[in-house]
Amino acid sequence: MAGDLVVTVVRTGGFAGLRREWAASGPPDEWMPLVEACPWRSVPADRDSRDRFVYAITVKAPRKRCSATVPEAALTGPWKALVDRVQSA
Amino acid sequence: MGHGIVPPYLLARIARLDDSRFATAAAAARNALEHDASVRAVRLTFSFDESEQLVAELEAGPDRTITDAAGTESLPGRVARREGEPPVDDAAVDEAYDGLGATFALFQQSYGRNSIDGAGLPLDATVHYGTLYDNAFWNGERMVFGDGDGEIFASFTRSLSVIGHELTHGVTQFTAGLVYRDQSGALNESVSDVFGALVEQHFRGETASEASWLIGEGVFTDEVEGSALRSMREPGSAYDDDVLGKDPQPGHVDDYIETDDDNGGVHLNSGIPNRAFYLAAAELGGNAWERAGQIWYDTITGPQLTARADFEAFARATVAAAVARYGARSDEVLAVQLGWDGVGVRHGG
Repeated sequence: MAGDLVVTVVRTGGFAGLRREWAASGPPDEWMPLVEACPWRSVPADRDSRDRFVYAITVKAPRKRCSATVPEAALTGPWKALVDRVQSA
Repeated sequence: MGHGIVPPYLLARIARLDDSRFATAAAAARNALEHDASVRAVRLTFSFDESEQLVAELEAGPDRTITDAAGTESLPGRVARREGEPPVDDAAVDEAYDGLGATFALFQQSYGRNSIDGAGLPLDATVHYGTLYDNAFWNGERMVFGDGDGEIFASFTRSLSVIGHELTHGVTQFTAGLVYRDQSGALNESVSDVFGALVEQHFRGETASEASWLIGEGVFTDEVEGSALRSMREPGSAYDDDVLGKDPQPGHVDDYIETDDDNGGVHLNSGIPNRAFYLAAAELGGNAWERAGQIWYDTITGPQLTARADFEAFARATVAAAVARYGARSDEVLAVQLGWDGVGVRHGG
């Protein structure tokens, strides 16, 4: 619906190098606490791992736009909760 | 004559033997333990010489530990099989154990390299990682294997080239250190595919013309229209499936994929140097791990390659490595040049 918040998760990399995409949407009030819990400006890099997944996460809402590229090793806490919620939507 | 892998604890026991019948073996074991701190496990071969004297020969052996994450994402998990222990009732554990052994054997026997770091680093792998986990990776310290989802992916330990690929990421980390992004990242991936394929060929005794040149054969379930995850001979031909789509790998630099995904397409553009290696190996014929593999090994361990090398810098380094080992006018140099010509990468030759 117009005015909804949309979260898109694109997973690339991994041994097979396959791309998978998930998206979910809903009223901003329902998603904002989880979206704002994610540390969008300070995603740790993972320079040690090889063949792990990379998650490109994007949020679009009427007054909110943010995106981050999160290595699998950093996909913990609110990031993990957000991606799990989008994947199961 | 008999031979086998002797784990460190057994080596220590042999060294302590106080029995004249085993004096030679005990001395050899003591020698290994005392004079080469880098040897943590050895392969001991017994034979008799012309005068019927017992000869004990030592070479480095692997020191493997396979752990079981039991469906969790916590590492390392419970120890399931240590070096020298017999097979267990778990295919993934035994496949990982045997695959690490086959990878160690290629690097040791063909290039004289003692494990990942060249100094006997223990080989650690975790199996049964995560739930329905569709991947295998190297985390900087260990190999980690998922069981797959059962619908598209089966267990990742089923493919020897996958196991060889992961362990080679460790070798690259300790040698060329190719930065895992864009062209140097695709080269890092390609080096893992090259030696992953060579581990399989060495284990099976296949020549370049007999080999499949596939990476990850057996990892897809029967539901998928595809033979493997990648093809080094024909990048882009490994699968063509309703759900997965078509294998996107390019096999020529004209088709190089510019993308921010996958650390700059490291698993996509690796098809280009992969095919260059295949073309060089096919031109030389015979066992690919002997001359083509030696040149690639010399390249990643040699002085010329930098961590941020692009395709052309890597190609020049392979030509320089071939010249250094086989001479400027050798068949080996021509084959390497032909390989890079075939994928459109300039090599300065």
